Amino acid sequence: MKVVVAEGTSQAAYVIDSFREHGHELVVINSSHETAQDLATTHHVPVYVGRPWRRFALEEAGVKGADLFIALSPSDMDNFASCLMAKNLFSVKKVICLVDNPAKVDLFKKLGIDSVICSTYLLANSILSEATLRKMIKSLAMEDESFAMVESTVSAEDRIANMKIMDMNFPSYASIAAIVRNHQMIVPNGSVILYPEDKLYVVAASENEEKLMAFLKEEKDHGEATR
Amino acid sequence: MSKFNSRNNVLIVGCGRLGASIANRYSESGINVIVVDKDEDAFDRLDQLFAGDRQVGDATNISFLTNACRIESATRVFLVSGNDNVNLFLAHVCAKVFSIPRIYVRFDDPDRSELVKDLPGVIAISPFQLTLEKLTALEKEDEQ
Repeated sequence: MKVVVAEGTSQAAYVIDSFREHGHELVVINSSHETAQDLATTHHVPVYVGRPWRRFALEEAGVKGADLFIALSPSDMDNFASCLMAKNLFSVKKVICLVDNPAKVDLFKKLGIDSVICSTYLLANSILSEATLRKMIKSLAMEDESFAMVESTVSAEDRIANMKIMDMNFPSYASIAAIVRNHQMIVPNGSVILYPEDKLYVVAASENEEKLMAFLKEEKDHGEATR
Repeated sequence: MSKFNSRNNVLIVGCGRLGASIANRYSESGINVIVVDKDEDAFDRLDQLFAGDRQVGDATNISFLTNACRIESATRVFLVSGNDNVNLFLAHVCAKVFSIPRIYVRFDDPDRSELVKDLPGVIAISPFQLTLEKLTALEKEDEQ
């Protein structure tokens, strides 16, 4: 997947790390020379210095046809312009926009931004943590948000670890599309056993996403007691 | 009165040299005009006899736009703030959220025009483009 990270400072650094860890191709654009230098030296990525709402900047940075464009500027207006340009003129498949003002979340979506993350909301809930941001980025809403693909890694504490899929009471509202184990894709069927470190790709209707996350991350003992 | 018939204002976002000139002109011809700027001092550019409404605030704030600026009653909007990205955002808001019949938007960067070309009622104007066209025309005249 080709991912563009436009603007941002510490969030950009986090996003860069988390995507690189998963082997994605990264294009990093930042209008501040200082931040660009910092990202380039501490995160070992080439950084294009330029303003991502200018056409020539996106052109030279090589944004064309990217799968994902993440705009992290502190200015909502700059993020909107960058996303619009990436989507309309550079055929970027999906744009994610950080907004400062919670009132703008729905408005930005209405104006064509695929996913909107509100920093105030995130801070208020102190969930700028790795897990949440990762979940937000990975569980991208698809088809006008009617369904979502959730990526989740099985851990040893999960109730579903070391179980056969047919024995885990997998919810009927979701479907495992693929399992990735040691970089090999496994097509799931009932007799496949899930092991820790397996990566699951699960499709579900958006309204069931939270329920699904709860199911996947249910812990061993707790799960046995509540079931 | 239906919502459509009640559109009788001109809204101008940005009271710089251009915004103030447009505002003064409308005020002189007796048309209701509301001019918005985030900086109160910007209104110094308006004529002494300016009869329109001045609003200080952030036009990207939708409730300010609806309540103070009465955008729903605007028949035409001029987006002439000094920030292209603000103008771009507001062009989308005016067209898609408020269905303003006529929206003029000024861009210093002519590339932004591409991003509003499919919006109903929106006309983008770029001083750069206009200057270039004028110069080309003048050169052609000289050649003849």
